Amino acid sequence: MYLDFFMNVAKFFTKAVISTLLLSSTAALAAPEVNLYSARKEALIKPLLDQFTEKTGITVNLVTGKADALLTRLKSEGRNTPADVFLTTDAGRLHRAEEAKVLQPVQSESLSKAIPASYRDPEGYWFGLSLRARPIMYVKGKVDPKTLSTYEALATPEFKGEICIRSSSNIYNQSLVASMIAVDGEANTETWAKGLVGNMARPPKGGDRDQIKAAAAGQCDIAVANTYYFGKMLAGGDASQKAAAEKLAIFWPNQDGRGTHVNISGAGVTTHAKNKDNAIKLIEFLASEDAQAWYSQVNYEYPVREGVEPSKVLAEWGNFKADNLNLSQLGDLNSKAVMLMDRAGWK
Amino acid sequence: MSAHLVLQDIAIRYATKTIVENISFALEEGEIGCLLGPSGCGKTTLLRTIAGFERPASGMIALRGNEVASPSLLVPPEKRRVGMVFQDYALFPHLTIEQNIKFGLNKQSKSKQQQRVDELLSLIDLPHTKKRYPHQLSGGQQQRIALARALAPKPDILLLDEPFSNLDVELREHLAHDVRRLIKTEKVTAILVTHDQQEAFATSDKIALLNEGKLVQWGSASELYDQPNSIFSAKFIGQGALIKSVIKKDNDGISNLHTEVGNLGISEKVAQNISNDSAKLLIRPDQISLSNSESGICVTLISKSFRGGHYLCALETNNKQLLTALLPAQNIPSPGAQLYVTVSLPSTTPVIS
Amino acid sequence: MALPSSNTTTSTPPQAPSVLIRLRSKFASSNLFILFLFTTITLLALPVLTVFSFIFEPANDVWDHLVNTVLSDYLTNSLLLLLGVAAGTLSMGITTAWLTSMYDFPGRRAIEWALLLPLAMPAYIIAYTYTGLLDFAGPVQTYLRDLFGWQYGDYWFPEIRSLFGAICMLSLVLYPYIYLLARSSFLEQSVVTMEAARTLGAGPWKRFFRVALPMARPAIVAGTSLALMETLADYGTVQYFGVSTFTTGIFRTWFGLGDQGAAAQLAAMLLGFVLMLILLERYSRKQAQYHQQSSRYSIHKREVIPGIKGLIASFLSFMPIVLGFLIPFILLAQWALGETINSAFLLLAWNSLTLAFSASLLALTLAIILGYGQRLFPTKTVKAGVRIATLGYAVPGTVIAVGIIIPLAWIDNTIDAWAIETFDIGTGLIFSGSLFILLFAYLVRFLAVALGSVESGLQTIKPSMDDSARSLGFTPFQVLRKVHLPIIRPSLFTALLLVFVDVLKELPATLILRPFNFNTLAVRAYELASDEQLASAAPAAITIVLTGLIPVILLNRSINKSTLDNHQ
Repeated sequence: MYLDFFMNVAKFFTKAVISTLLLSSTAALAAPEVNLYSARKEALIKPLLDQFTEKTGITVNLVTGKADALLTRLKSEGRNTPADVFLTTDAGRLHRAEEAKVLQPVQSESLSKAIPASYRDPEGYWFGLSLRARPIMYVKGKVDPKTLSTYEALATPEFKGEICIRSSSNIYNQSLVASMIAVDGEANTETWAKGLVGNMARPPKGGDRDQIKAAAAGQCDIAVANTYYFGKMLAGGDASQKAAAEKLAIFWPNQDGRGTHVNISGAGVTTHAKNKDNAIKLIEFLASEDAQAWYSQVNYEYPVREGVEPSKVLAEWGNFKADNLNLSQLGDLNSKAVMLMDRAGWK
Repeated sequence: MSAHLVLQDIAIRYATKTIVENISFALEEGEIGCLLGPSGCGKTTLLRTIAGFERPASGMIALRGNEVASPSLLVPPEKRRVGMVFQDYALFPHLTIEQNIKFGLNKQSKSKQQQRVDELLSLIDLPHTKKRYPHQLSGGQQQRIALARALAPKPDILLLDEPFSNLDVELREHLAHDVRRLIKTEKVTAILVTHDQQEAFATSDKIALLNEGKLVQWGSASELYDQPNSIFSAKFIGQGALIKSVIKKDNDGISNLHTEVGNLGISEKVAQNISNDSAKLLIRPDQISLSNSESGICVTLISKSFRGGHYLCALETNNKQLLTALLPAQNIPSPGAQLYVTVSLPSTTPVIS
Repeated sequence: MALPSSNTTTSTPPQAPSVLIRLRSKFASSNLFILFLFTTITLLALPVLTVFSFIFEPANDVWDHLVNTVLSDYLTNSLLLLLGVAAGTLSMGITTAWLTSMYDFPGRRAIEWALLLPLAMPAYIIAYTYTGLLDFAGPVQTYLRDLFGWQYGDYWFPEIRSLFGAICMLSLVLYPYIYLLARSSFLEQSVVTMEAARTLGAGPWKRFFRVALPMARPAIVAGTSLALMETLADYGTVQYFGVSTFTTGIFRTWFGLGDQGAAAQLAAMLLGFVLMLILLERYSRKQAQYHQQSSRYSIHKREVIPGIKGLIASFLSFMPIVLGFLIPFILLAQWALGETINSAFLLLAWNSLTLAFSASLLALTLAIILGYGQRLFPTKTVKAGVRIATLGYAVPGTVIAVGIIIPLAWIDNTIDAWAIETFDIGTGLIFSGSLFILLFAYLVRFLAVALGSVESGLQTIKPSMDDSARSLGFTPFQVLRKVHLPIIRPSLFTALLLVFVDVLKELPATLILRPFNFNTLAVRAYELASDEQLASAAPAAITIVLTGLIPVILLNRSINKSTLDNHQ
């Protein structure tokens, strides 16, 4: 009885799968298009892509996924890869993609003009598109911002049991530590990491929002998190998250020195791109003023393009000095950072 | 209630369906009883009721003078001290032979358990199987292990559900005697369920013949064979033919049964028990012998089957009455031939109305 | 992965060699079949072998680093997690299976099928919901603080995001594997065996521990190994809870340290773990066999538990449903209410369903072929091959994905190069660029689930059944079709369902291998949830759960029906 039923359903679905397969391959022959491998999640990129399509008539085909897995896919597919553009967070990964020879250099005057040199590859292998900052956040009324100064200072005994920060498996922390290795050296940074681990209010767990929530709930006084999470909590629909975020304020560390740690999300054209022109158009669009403003207004990221007005929320946090370290160094130092955190017992 | 096992007026019903009814019998200590009957007669259900798996709808069961089952009382099987051998043995496949036999012995010391296992294994003649698993033994061996397992805790009563039905015929008879010997050695009271009268005869002291949920007859093997109390008993037990007879009183006022094969005088008491004028007379094969003269009854040989020294012959009289006879192997012609036979009618031959 | 359930030693037909000879002489096609068998096995083993091949990259300082720092953490955490989940799933799965199959108590019928509901709940989703509920900043603790005026540190509250929490979450969603398999084993156990135990004076506890439980061992071991493999492969939950296990370690080493070799070496260690467990179980079982010896079924009668005890039984078997399904479901529903659903969402659901159905049917077909192949040719080589082909179950999805994309893309590129050279036409990425690669990944990952079920079904058929059908003039394939498949129908449904639900929930491989513009519910739910937007993730999550319910209900009905059929 059920067997027959299942056989019928099976036939039906087999047909469906075949037609889906055919559809996806025939779509390739239609209108102008560009194929994108994105390590940024769909929700954070799709609205911009839709705008691009509306403006140019170029269809954008999208796969999202984990950055390193997409990179592996890109490498394995070789010259047959369907991807024209590779978009990812973290300069380290862009650098790694360049080294893996899956990106090609692009000369675009508008891109060179729009994006400051420190946020793009000198030869045009990749271009930064948005900027995220990882400042210190503190609970208003419990911590006097005057006692805060640098990332380095977070390891001093006065913050014992007061710090919430996520796991060392996360790329944001890996980049932060890499940036410190670049400036302070490996030995100093390791001492620092050990001190920080000793100051943690709890074993690292959850994401950036969780650190902010835990601080708001009283589990710790200081959280280290990316600004856009903070912005989203403040502006999002969830009343409890909003209330939590409102208890905290942002402190920009290292303003007297190298500046606050930043990293970029960015994109490059793949070596074997079949729609190279469209690919460049897409990146140019993402660097355009409108798109840059969107990052700031919707995603609470900082635009890379100078002269784009930051959104109201961002403006309220004030201006800050960003670390001007060459971002490709973060990629080189990434595995050192991970090992260092392992040794320091940073879970 | 001096008997070891007493069943009093037992009835068992599933919902509205009656499985057995009006069953009463008693078994003395050390006796082996047998529930014999065709399939569907309710014998297994009755056995399961004695074991404690079913609750009687009416009546009472007592074991060693203690009531164990009635409509209001049900001592569960694990509290009854019954041992049971199942049709398919139900040995635990995940336990070794030794562990199987020890299963019911948990209240004894380790050394006593070990001693009992050794004792039983040598009794059933399988001393080297201890560490093996059931599936590594033959059917007959498994059967004996199942018996040893059931006997191990020295149960008050041993119940055997068609214990030989999964074995081949040769093994069956051999084992039936073995089982009887074992039970007697262990001095256990036992009840065995079977549909095979040979098994019943070979193993049992008392037989309860069941049909359609009713106890037809209760007695020893020879009682059942020699004095069947009903057509069913007569037909089910042993071979033979039931032939028509008419009761007539002779001039002396003595009742006589007139049959085609001769006349038989019967007592007044027997005659009174026969409700109408006709009755059936049971003729066993060994009551018929060849007649060397034409003084005998003329019959046609329908078929014959060799029984080693004898032929079991189906005969037909001129009036189409069928007879079964066990005749010496010499001088038996081919089927279709005519023979002359005589029938001896001893006074004990049963009469069934 | 090797399912220890498959008691292949006993399902070997006694006349195996003769069967083989007869086959060879009678059917030239048997060689073809063996060829097919080994091709399938090789293909399925390819990804795992690809990952393993990295082992031969020379060990470097990364490995030293791992040994010196985090490896012991990975080891202890993984072991504790395994032990904890084993204890949790076994206690919940067996208790509920025993109660519902042997007894009757208030609500038993409803509870019986509802116990399968957590099967539809992905572990990462239940982890998100409980975190939302029980975390320090969550409503429960906040309420308690408001109520008693407590501050941080004033009171003790179990930390949900911990090893213990991960054990709880995984146990709550994985116990149905054990429940499902143990229950059908309890129901199929010969009633007579239990009766034999009773006549030997065994009370309910002894009957359970000495007879029913050991006899259900193959089923329970199969269920447990499924649960433990899932535990080892779990990434979402442990990563979210900050518990460092082998799986998170593999990710971290591969992607954080960028060292494929060391990551593969970790993965190999993980598989070594699994193999050791399987061998241990095999060894401990030795020669005991679990064929049902009895072909006679009595009507299985449930004992009624009256009064308070009955209510306790109801409560005990209801708790896993409440914790593993109702609470997270209600939370999700509440979150989902505030979200809107559009047509794009329906497309997601359609994609998920299509994939899951195709993958589960494919997996079932292959499982039947491999399972029956093992029965026809019970040689060591075939058995070992099948075990290797199913190892993918214990490997985290991302690792499998990488193991798949490398060889498949290579094949594609080779074909393409050849085609260009020969015909001057590029074929592009035939396999790796289409849904094929995704289906292939699901097969590698979940074939073990289907095979386990099919094997335990085939195991209940005595070898004499094959022989009797063969002697009646049926070819091996006719025997399969006319005898085995109808008999093991319930196991086939179990296989189909388990793979279906697994594919529906599968995340990491789907994420990496899907073609352009192709999303599934799991991908959507994960992307949003991992971005800490639990509420937005809720509609997709709840749809996974609801879709997963359909086969759960179907399966449950077919199991009930078939056990009823058997008993009549």
